[in-house]
Amino acid sequence: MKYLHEILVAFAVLFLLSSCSDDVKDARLDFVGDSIVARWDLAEYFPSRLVYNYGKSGAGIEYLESLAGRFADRNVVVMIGTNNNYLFVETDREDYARRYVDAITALDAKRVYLYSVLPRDFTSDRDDVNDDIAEFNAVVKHIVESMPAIVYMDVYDDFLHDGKIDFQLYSDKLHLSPYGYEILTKTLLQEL
Amino acid sequence: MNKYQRFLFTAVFAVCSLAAFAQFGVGVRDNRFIYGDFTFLKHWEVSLEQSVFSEKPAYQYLRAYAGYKGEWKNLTYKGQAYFGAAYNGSYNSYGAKIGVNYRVVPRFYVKAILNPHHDSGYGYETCFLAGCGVVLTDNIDVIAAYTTIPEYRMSEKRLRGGFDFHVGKLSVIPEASIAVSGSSRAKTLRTVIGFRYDF
Repeated sequence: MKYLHEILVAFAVLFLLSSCSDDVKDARLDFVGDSIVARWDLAEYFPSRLVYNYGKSGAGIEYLESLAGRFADRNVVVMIGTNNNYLFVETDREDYARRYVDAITALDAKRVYLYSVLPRDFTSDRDDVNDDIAEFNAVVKHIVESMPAIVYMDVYDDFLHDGKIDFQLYSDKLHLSPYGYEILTKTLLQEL
Repeated sequence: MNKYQRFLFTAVFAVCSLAAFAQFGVGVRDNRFIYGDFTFLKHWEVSLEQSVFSEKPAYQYLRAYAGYKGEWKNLTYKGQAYFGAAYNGSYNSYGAKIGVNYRVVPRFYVKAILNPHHDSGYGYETCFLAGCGVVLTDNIDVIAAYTTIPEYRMSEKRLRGGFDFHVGKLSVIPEASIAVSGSSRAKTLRTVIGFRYDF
């Protein structure tokens, strides 16, 4: 057996690989949200994590509410709200923000990683949409501050440049480019 | 010496000790994995593959392969078993790859890989690849495949197409990869690069 030594060393490598204990749990991450989540290539951006995508194009608060109780004891990443931006106006903002946080709480998750709603510049948007988005984010951030199970990730300013959206982070001024997803990924990994 | 250092030391030792007795090659797979492999007695092959993810070091992944390859007339074949794990032990995966490449005519070949694969998080899946290649010139092939073999960790149904540029001992394989269905709802286009150099 001329190569017995080399074969034994190769098996030693395999043995040591198998002897690594589960020091860190392979925590499942469930991503919930609208088309921004649906289009997120989770397999590429989180190549070493156990990820599931529950993003749905066009989704809003009703979709979030329909998922109540579905994520018991799980870690959930949430990005949703842009499709309901018409409810961010001052007269509706507080009520909608409470409904929004209630829907997130109702997911029953062990921990929620909640992104701020992102700025946008879609063709049909009203001129002050981003002001309303910023105000809505501030209300939500204030509400969840006292909720230890919700980790709020404020990335709104990261997507602005000179007061307008940073176009290189978007593919169509609403949905994100790979650079935009890099920012979301990096922010989440810092929190995990 | 903690278990990760012990693990890496053994892997490096294995690589160095094997190098003295084998032909070897190095390369990159799917942008994110670097590898080195050794061939003994023309047919037996062992390989180590290391991830280069944009992730914390503890979430990097190392995989070892051992297998046998050969040729018969217009058919080349290869069978491998593998095991890999993340450095922090958060997950592991193992399986086998049985592949064949058949040259139908001098300028056209077909390829298939059967990959029973188990991931400690995603569970078991029988993955596969079915593809073909057209020889344009002595140095360039056009290649295409449908595959469910994970490019990273998750199995996805993907179409891949690109070129295999090969000159001497170097081959470079740029491909486009797009999800067609399955667990990944992001039907985004990936550009993946592989290369290999044989010493």
